[in-house]
Amino acid sequence: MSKFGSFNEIGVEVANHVAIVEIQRPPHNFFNIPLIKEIAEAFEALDESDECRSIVLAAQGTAFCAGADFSDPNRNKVQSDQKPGGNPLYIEAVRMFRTSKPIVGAIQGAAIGGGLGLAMMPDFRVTCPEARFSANFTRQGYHPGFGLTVTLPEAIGRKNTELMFYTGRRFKGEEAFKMGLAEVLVPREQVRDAAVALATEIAECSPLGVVACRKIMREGFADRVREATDQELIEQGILRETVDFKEGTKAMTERRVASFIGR
Amino acid sequence: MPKIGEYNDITVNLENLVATVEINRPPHNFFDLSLIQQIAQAFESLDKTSDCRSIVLCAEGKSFCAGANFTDGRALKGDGSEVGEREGDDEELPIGHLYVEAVRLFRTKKPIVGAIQGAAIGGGLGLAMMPDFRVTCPEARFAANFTRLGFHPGFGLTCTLTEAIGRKRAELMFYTSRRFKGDEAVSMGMADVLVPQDQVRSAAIELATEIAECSPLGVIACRQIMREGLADRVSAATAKELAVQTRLRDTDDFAEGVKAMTERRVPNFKSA
Repeated sequence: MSKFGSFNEIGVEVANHVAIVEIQRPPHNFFNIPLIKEIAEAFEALDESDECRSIVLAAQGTAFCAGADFSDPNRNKVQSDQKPGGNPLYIEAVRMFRTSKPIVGAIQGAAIGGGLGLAMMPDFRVTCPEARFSANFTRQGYHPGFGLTVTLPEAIGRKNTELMFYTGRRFKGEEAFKMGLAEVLVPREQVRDAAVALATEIAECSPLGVVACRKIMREGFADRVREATDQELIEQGILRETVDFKEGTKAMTERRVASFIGR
Repeated sequence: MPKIGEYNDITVNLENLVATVEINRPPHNFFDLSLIQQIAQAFESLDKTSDCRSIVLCAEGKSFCAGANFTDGRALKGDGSEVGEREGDDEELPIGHLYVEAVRLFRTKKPIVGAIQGAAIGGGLGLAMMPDFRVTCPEARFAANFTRLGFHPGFGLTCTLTEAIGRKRAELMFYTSRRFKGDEAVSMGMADVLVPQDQVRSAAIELATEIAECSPLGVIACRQIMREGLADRVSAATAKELAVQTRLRDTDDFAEGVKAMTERRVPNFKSA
């Protein structure tokens, strides 16, 4: 296995035509702009490499990605930039959807909020009973983001998506598998290997055929994600000014049900 | 059972308002332009037959349809042409003509039940996904094996498979070329009824009979609404698929993929 590129937040290795992009911010792998940017850069560089035919996106630690890093000083600035297509975080997020090689997500732990958005970006997901999937935005007095209003319904259908958005409920790995949030369910210690096995199965097929087919299957997908993030950002901007958002964030920290008042 | 029409490669029978269209190219029922054309003609003529209210599409032999025969070098030539068999015409016709005939299948009116008693592979899967419903058995095999051949999915599958089983599952089939058994196919939504192999045809006729008991005007009108735009979407999908297939047919990878398939080994692709 050979190391590929040089990154701060992630590690990239390529072996047998399969690249592993590992997020290295354990234990919770909260995301910030540099992390998403590095993932996008890695995917783009792997597009240029003939050695790579498919990609596994994995994470170190207990969570796959527990959402946005609220301690990031750039976060407020990011969230207030509502110009369509101009949000720095979502510019990097949308780049990930524009690359051409198939990606398998190894979801070994919690994928929460924006972390669920990151988990829904790959073509396929391998998970385990211990993983947790939650779009917990409305529990926080907030609105779903990271393109989830497009990626989630396209993967699991509108009804399941609405259930996740309106309840903020947490779903376990087995439930996620049944709902279509993941394609493969294995014991926790086998998640990474099973993701590599699926990526290897893809890498055995003709790279030109797979890339051409993926282009047709994902036609317009990145543009739909971009439009969704614009819309999500507008709603998020409105909600951030409410009393309910403050209460939701406070309730989350205190691990209790929020007392919302609708303002 | 009264036979209707005269065809070379299919037999059409009509009984109790249900027509059976049987493909007679056993054991593998490889398709070519002529076969698809005959099926389209049969469906169109059954549209005009008031004694027919629903159709069963079935096949004689081991496979339902193992696709185009890439390995004998006859079905598809390296220059992007297909050997024309239309009414004794020996001229080569592009694969595009095949898809023109395929799209005709999607424009007819009466509900169709596929009896998938064996392998439905590659373009054969495309043919299997054309009916409204599918009856299958554990022994059947479903595979979109195009990328194993260094090729690209065709026969409208990028549209029909996606609409039937959802995009994630369609992508999994396309990018891995994996083979799915009949019972897996049913749990994925690729088929609607699972029965033992010797009951596939009778179960398909039973479902078609249940449809034939309903009001023919209501069923046809409802099918028209439910399939609104489908033939056009299939047509658009085949155009895109054809463009990629034409490009890939000239690659070394396609030659290697076909060779590896014949030699039953994993191909050694080079992205060229």
